Amino acid sequence: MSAEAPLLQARGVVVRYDLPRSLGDLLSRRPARALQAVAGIDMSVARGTALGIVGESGCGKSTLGRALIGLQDLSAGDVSINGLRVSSNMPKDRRRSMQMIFQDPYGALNPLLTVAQTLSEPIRVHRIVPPDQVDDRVADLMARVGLPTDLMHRRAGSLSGGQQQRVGIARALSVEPELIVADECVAALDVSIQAQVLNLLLALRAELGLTLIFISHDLGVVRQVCDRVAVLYLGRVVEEGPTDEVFGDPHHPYTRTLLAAAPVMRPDAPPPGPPPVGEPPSPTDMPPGCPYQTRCLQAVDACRSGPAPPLRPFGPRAVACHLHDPAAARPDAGQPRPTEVTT
Amino acid sequence: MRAGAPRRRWPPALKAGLAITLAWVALALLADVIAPFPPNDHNMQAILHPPGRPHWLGTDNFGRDVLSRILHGARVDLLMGVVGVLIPFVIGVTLGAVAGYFGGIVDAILMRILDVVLAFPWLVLLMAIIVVLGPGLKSFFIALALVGWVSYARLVRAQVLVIRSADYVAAGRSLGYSTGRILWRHVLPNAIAPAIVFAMSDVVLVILAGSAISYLGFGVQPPTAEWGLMISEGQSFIFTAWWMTTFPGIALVLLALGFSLLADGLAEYLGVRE
Repeated sequence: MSAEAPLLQARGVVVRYDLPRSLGDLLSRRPARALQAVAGIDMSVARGTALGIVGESGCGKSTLGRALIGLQDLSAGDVSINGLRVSSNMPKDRRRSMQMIFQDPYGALNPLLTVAQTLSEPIRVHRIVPPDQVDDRVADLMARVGLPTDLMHRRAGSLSGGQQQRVGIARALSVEPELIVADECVAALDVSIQAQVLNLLLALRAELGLTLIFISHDLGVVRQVCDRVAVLYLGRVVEEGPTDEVFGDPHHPYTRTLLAAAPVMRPDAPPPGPPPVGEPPSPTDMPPGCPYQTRCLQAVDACRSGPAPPLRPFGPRAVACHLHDPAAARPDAGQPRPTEVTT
Repeated sequence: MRAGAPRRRWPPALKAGLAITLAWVALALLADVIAPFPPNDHNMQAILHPPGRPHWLGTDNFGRDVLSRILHGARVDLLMGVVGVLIPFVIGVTLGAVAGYFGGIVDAILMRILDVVLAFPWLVLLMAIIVVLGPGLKSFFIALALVGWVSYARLVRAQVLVIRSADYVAAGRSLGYSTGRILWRHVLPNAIAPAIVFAMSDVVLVILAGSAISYLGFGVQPPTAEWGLMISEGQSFIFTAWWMTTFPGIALVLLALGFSLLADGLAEYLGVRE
């Protein structure tokens, strides 16, 4: 699979929001401030795989997800899918190949339209089937996502959360995409419904050979769904690799605290590690050096100055941490390094 | 609750408002049939006839039957109200939706024009334009179009600003829908409810403004039967023939009441907070 060109390739993706300047800022001639929601991310996703994107609230997960499918303008960098560049104004036949499933299942549906209207519109717009077969197609889609056809003429408001999310999934599937970005797609659902929707997503992925980008803060769900996982911290990938390896033996101190903070319902589970210390720094006022140094328990002098550590390959995965500099090639990478790092 | 919401019942205000409004529409449409006398027929034998047989609401200083004139006047007043609201509604909703969705320079220019129009008292501006254009119903509609759109533009723009960032709009974009499709099919229908509610209460204001302007001599011209004009004509006879002013006034109040109730009921039904 690695020999094949990746379906999605992102290089140096930056999404920056300019903050409004207050009168005080203008008078004191302070420069305009910007918030970097995504601060330079490279990633590639192989066809047919599922990549999990995890991280705390506000780490830029959702913005990244939208940027990858052209729902968010990039400030720098580029994203291509099938070798074609993604942009917010690409033609509709390019849009088809990438769809999104949203966090709020109700907010993702136009409340005035019935299920049938919601599902038939993309089919008509893209002329997926001849006009006389649209109704059959809608029925097929509903059956595929497990929606009874008697819900066809109901509006979003009269469906349950799970049913609403199934409509959202069916709508995404209606244009036969290759890539689906699922942004916290089960976070708003009851736990019992979560499992149903996840199983549906897994079955559809296997059946249709979909490529999945699964954004979630629920590590258990990511572990169940994803082949690879990328851990985001303040708009940067701090660790990336096969899910089992990253979760089984986390390298980056942030991944470790993130995993330790997640409750594990097993009697033989190891005792929980120290919880994350404090809040992440404000993205408008980033610390020098490594973005994680203000909370990192293993931070050394090298972490507190200079540029942020780059994401460096480390075996089958990649880590952005001075403690895991492969150039140093030290076996016990968990120990603090007393000397500064040459960059 | 959003999920599994029961079918919404019609609020009593909506039912009452609809009943009164539709009753007036029916009376206006059937004026030719049910009015006992032609509205402009002078009867010199029955000048200033008090209410009673055969003139149930009396006659005016030309012996014209007040009831018949009120029924025929309902046509003019309803037309004034409906057309006078429809034109600004269409203009305002369109401009407000475009400004809110696209933002930027279009929005900035439109909002400044809006501020300027809002800076003048509504009725004074309306009369100034009518005086420039010359009296008549056509001038009244043109003036309303120039002045009235601002309220609708502001209401719709505010809603569109919220709805354009809804997930279903993002979904529409990712599905490759055209901007026009997203704006007219997905954003506007969800943004228009407050404007519809306002339109109902605006009908009242427009009818009253039309009557006021006719009363002042700039609107509908005599001898057309129009309520404001009838009140104006009856003014000099207020002590000898109170019915000439009282009954058109009551008619005006009843029509206004109907549309007010309709506005309140619709607001409740559509879940719009005023």
